[in-house]
Amino acid sequence: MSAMIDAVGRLLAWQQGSAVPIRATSALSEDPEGALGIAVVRLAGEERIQAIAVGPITGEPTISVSWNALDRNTRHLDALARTLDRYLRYSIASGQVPRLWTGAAALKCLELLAYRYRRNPNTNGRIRRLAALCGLLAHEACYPGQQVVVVAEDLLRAHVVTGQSADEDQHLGTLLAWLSPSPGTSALEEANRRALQPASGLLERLVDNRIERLRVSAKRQLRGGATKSRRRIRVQPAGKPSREVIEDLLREGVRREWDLLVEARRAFRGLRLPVSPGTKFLDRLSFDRMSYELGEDRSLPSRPHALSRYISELEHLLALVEGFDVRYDRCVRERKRAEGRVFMAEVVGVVQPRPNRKPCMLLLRTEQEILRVREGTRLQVLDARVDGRVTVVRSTGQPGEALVELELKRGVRERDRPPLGARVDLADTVLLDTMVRQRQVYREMRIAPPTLLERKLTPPPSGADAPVAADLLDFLDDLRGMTPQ
Amino acid sequence: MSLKGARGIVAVSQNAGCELLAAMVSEQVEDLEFYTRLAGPYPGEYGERASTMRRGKQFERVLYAQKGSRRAFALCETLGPTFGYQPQAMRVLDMREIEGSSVLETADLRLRRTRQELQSLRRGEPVAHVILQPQLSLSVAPGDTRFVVPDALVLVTGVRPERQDMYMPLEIKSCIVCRNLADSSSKDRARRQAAVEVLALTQEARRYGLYERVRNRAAFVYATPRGLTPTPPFIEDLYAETAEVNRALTVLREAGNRLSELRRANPGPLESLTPQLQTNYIDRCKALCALASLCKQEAAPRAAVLGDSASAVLGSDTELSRLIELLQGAQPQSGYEAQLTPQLLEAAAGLGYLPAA
Repeated sequence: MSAMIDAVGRLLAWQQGSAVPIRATSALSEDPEGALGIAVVRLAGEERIQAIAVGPITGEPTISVSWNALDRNTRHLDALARTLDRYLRYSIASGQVPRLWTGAAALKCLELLAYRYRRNPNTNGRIRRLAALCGLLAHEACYPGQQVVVVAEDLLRAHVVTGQSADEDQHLGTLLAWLSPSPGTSALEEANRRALQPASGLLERLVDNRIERLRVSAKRQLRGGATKSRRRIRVQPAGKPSREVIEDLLREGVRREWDLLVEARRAFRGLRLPVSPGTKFLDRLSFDRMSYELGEDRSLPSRPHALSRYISELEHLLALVEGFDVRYDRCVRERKRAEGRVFMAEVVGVVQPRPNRKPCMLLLRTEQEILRVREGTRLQVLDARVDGRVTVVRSTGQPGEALVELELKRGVRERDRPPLGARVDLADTVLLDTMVRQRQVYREMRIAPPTLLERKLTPPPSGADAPVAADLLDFLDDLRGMTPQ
Repeated sequence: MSLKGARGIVAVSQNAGCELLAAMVSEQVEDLEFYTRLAGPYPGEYGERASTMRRGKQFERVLYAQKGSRRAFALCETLGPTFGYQPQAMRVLDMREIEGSSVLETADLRLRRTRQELQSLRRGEPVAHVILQPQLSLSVAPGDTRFVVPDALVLVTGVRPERQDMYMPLEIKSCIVCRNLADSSSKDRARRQAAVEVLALTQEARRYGLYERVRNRAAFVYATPRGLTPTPPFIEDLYAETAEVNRALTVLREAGNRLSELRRANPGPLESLTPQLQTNYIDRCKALCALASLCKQEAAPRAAVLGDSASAVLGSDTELSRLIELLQGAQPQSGYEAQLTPQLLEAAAGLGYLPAA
């Protein structure tokens, strides 16, 4: 979204005192039955989970807490491990895409669980399985257009702008103040009030500091209890041992986080945006990825070839999602039009020597002022299965008018292509499947592998006679003891 | 966040347009205390959490711990492979062992010892490979010199004949690095803090003719997701950060002059001069200064409250109500408005709020 559109959106939201939708369709499909929610309270700095609420997003969560998240005990993660494993297996087995509502901070904590426990021999199999699932979900969350992991604040920010800064929008509480304003209070006042409380999986600072102090006393109590008698445990003035006080505070904190998550989902559904038809395809992609990955315990791509494939896939998905947005969402289409990447044109000529056969050239006239079309740009006709490459862009002589010659690559049949005189929207969001090209490259490489890939390396020259590397790459190769044959 | 020492300079480098912030740093006024003097008790959360501080201290303790019969520092095991030293053979000068009768005396003693080491380096004598908690000084303005304390200085030995040995600041941060990525805001602060240290080291090095050897570069050690295990050091160039910190030093000098000028007419405390000092409300203010909420209130009718991105396209001082009038069809009254209005209307049309022109 351009900076001016974002700024004007914020201006309008400020004026009307509520968030302004920036999309006409929902980029998220309907929640499947039993969609899960996960809210956490983390230990600041450590990013360790102190309390976790997990359960169906439309129901009551199961809350587990750890009074001392600094120890190696993972008992408080058992409920999460059980629920997540069961839910993911059930979803895949029943052929529906799983759905997990969470926050950005919670997702980060889940990702770190994967790093900490996935290959940790000192923990039990259930926690290792949980870590693998968390890694899988964190990885899935990186795919553009994925339909599995819903990060509440990111989802809302993708659909609305508020009358505050983008920086302030990162606080889920203040963001929600603009989506569901309280009666009798302006959204701005409510947002300022909510900003005083943290909303990223952290407790209020005073509560957090109190827990730090109580933890010390609880440990002391535990030591006293372990060596002597449980009766000697000192109690808080309220009559509770420190450990229980900590647990109560954590339960309260995670409940607040859960309520925010539920409110975010309600606010999003309250926008009543029709689901974009493109999500059906994205749902299938997410399902395929999850069902494949769930059976494997694979690490994240880290080697060059795996990484290049992964990056290509991300690029492909980005283009795919952008294409769906332009095709199915009128707000996104209008924004792209303002940027000159979508334009309306009239078909003023068709040059096709043989009917229904290539070559077929469309002559298009547009009056759009901002036009980001150059020779060679791939364009598709929106609302039709027609695309082609621009061969000529020239002025008609009339101010603000241009002629575009489009050589069609697809949709040359008369029943497919737009007729003479039709007014059509064209966009530069033609999907290029790089995976096909990549497979071709790999096939070629298998037939004639490059020298460097053969790994037939000679031992490095030794002694004073060794030549001094003039090139930096040679120098590096010398350092590594590798000299290609 | 405290505005004393290097932190204040870092804060000014992040919002060099705010005269009030520069004045507070120049006078070494704590922003929370200043807020209380201006507006009463601070309503929100302020300062670092006990848990974060505990983790930071624990992480430093782990790295500064000495292990084995040779009492080798754990930090040396982290640094050794990257800097080309055998960890057991590394000589460490631990400045924490030097204590004076007061904070100032301790700082003075440590500064002298750090300078001795630099002098030895100049003479080509053997020096420590790592100096823990060294003391450096940075002249901010005439009569205003501040102590800067990096977590450590690491000796970088020359790999080319023309480059000679010199120390490089090292910052130890307990924030977690995952897939080689740290939280960008923590990283930005750490880089700016290191830039202050680079400038302080440059000033110290100038005394002994080592100026040419200082690079705009620092090393950072973060924590891995696995508890308090450190990452290998990241060595980063800090050209942009040192330029911004240099600019901050200029701003601080100007703020000092401006305060002296204002005090000629009004010799009162800083809060009495506040109305005459310009503020510059930006997105970062919330993380920089306790006065952010006051400045936001002041900026409320202007585009600055919609964020940096909106300020950049609408003009931070433009009144929001005027922009609404322009959207509703008011006639532009200046060249700027005439230029802005069509863009506003086009953007509103793009959002589906107005018919396209």
